[in-house]
Amino acid sequence: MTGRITFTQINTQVQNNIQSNYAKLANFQEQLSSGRRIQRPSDAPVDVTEDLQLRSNLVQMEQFSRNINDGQAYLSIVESTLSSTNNLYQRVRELGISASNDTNTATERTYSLREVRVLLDQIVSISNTNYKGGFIFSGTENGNPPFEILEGAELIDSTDNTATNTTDTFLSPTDTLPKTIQIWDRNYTTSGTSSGNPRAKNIIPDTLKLTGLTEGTDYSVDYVKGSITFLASATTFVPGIGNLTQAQIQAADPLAFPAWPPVGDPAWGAASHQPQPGGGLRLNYEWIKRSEKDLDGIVEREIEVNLVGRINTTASEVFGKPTEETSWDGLITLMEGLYENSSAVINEGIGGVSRALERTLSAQATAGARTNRFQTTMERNEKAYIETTRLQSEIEDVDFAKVISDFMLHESVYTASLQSGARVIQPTLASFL
Amino acid sequence: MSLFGSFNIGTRGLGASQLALNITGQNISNANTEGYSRKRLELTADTRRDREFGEMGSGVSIEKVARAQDEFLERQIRGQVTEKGFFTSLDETLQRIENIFTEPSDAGLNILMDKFWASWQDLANNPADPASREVVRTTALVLEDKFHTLASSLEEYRASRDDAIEAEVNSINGITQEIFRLNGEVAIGELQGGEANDSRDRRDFLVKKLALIIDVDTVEDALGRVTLTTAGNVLVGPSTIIDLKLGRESVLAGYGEQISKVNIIFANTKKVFEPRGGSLKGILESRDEVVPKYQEFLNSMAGAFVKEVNKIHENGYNLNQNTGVSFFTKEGLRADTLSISSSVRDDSTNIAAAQGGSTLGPITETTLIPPNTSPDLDLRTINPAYRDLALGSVSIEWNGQKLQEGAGKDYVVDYEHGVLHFINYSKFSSGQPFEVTFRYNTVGFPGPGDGRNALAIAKIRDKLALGEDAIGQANKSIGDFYAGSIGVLGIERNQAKTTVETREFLVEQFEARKQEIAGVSLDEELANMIKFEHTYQASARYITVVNQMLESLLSIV
Repeated sequence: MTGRITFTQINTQVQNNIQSNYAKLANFQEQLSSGRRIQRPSDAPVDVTEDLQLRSNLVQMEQFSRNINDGQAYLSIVESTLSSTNNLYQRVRELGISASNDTNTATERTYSLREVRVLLDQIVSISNTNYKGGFIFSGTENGNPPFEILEGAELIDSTDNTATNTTDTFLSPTDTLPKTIQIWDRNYTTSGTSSGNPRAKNIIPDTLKLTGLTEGTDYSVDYVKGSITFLASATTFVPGIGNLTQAQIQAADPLAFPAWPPVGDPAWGAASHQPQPGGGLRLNYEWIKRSEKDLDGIVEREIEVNLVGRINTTASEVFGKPTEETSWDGLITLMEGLYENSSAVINEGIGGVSRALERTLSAQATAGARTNRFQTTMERNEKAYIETTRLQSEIEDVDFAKVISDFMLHESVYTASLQSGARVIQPTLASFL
Repeated sequence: MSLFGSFNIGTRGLGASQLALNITGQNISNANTEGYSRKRLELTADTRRDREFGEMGSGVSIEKVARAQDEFLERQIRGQVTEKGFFTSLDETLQRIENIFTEPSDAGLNILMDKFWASWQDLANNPADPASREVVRTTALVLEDKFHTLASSLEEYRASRDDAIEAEVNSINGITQEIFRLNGEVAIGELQGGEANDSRDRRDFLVKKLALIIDVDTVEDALGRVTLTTAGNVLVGPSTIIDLKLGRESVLAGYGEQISKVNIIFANTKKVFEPRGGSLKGILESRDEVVPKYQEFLNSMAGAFVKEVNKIHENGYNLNQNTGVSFFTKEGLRADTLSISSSVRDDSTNIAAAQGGSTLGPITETTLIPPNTSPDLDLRTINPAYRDLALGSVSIEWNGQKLQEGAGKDYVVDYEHGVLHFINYSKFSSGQPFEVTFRYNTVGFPGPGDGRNALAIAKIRDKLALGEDAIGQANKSIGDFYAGSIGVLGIERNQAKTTVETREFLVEQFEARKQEIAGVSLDEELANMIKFEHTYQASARYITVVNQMLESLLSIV
């Protein structure tokens, strides 16, 4: 026996069915208009968790791609800089080799020296290559140029025999000749460190001037170490100091000034520091200064999860560690040989420049390998990005063909429920009485 | 049997048909009335004993007007309605939480966290670049704002549940009063005989309405009055009615603060009422368990996030060569209190992108080196490692007093070199020792081009910082923890939604069954109408015939 079917029952049922069909249509419509399958977590809880993680991964991969691009740009600057340096060293070496031939006259070697000097200036300027405002060979201290050609100046004053500067190892009253003194970088301030002033190393030959004295007879210079030796053979009379051969050289308080102010200038400070009328020893020179900051900082880019790739090449790697032989040493030795017209020293210099060239080549090879690594990582990253995007799209995006056909199907179900509802509600017995 | 007796049979038939038509009319008019049960006229054939023929008919007798009802079904519906009420309010709450988190989207917390990590990567690439620093700062500000918005939205919704409780309690009280009144009507009506059908319909309807809010049980007494109980407590008795009232109690919140919350008590006993079902239980559970759970999720995440970022940030160096600066305030370990430290907020050069060593300390050195001859106390003379002091970490006690730091006060600190400079130093020259407490970094400033600390912060993204595995180690990254929490939210909402749908379907099924019994079928009523119209006409006809018989008889006389 079938149960009673009442008017309210049918009515409620029709309404419920229409409602639920309409809700399904609305859901499909939402999916179609937004293009997304998941609107809120409850639509597909497990997928949502995965989706959120995939979204994060995508952001991360985009970031890695930016890091890699940035690193590649940096590396290409490093590489091209190293390759230019290379060419310059090669030119220096060629000049050196042709000048080492003993058929060259002193004048010809002086011409070569001038050319090497121009190349040296170029190498120093290339060592200061900048990328996005930072010096590429300065490591993490990239606000400081790694190398500079500076003008140095000293005063040896015979009237001041008090040594107030603790780093002052210039001439002392008890000194006898020959006496070697070290030239210091007086521009460097010691505040904040307990170490003394650094040495003024790598003095460029043909730039050192010591007033009134003659190089060779009165003094000799170690250009690489930055020291001057007053020779026992010195005969020159120095006004204010006396004859170098006889006089006790009194200690001086050498002051450093970037330029050489005239006598009486307040920049000299105390009256006792003033240059003496008639002269004193004035020392002028140009030298290659290595920044006193730590230039060995490592610059890296994160290119994959927990994988960093180094992009910078440090000044020590390209130009040698300051405690060992540097590339500048070779260049300076070569220039010294040209300046002093000595084939032996020239040959020694050529050896130094060759080692500089090797150093640069090796740095260049390392940078090239890094570039390759970045390139392959980039390719992998791109593939992973595409794959992740596809996965995410699979989870999150609407399969239009499916949803549209589902939509059509439900639309017809909805229409059918409306039509049948209208018919079944309409008639009652009253219509037929 | 006399002819007058026959008249009587006809009259009773007329009356019965008329009453039946009345009832049909009432049924038709109330076809759409909610809670109305179809009424039926129950008739029996009346008999008398005849000496010759035994039992003879004496017309129709009206037994009662019956109400089509199934008490068992009614109870089942009530039970399902209570369940439905509970899950509906849970579902509502979870839906709100879903809307608050708005995941997955491009404006959710997830993507903002990712952008935050990415901004540190960009800073690591360009540590000295002011634009990259600004991006980190603004991204962090947006993130801070998002945490605050999420926290306040959740808290506002949680607090609004108190209002919802009040509204529900008011409607419970309204309904119980009405039931109590109807109890009286049924009792009085039925004492006078017959059935108080419409009052019973209305009362059943109200009990069902109440079942949506709380769990209810009813027992009917001999007079037709119901005793209505909820969770074992009487709300409506034969002669009593007990109101519910709002009270307040103080409880310990998850993050260790005492908070005062609304509860429900019985007006007479002052006992706390804890509903076992219905929307009211759902609201209470939303307020006390569901929302706090997600607040807790968010707070743990914010706490871990702040701690991890600060730990690394404090060890690093900013562009001003200072170490020991917090990125977020140390106190803000919850989503609502998370806050970027004022130094970073004010100046993006205070963001520590450069790597330091580890920060050691606090170390206390008692030193007698008085600045007798010099206003400076160089900590490096005590230990050369004491340089690069953590910013703001220096405190000095001298002669039992705490000295004040700052220009124009007692001393200033050269944090980079570990030198304390005493202002007006002659007053410290009494030979009393200084107790200097400070924290310092083991490694010096590596230069403005160093971005390793920024990279280390960016890598917190993948660090396991939350959750707990079998041996008590963190086993989830912050992002995974969040994604997992959103997954839990989705699962819970999904369950609640499905349960609501199931309960709704069951209620519908039971209601349909009830309609089968109690619903008005118009066709049936119309058929009855014609039936009774015909019996009425036939009874009238019968009276005419009896009348004619009587006339024939009288004409003989």
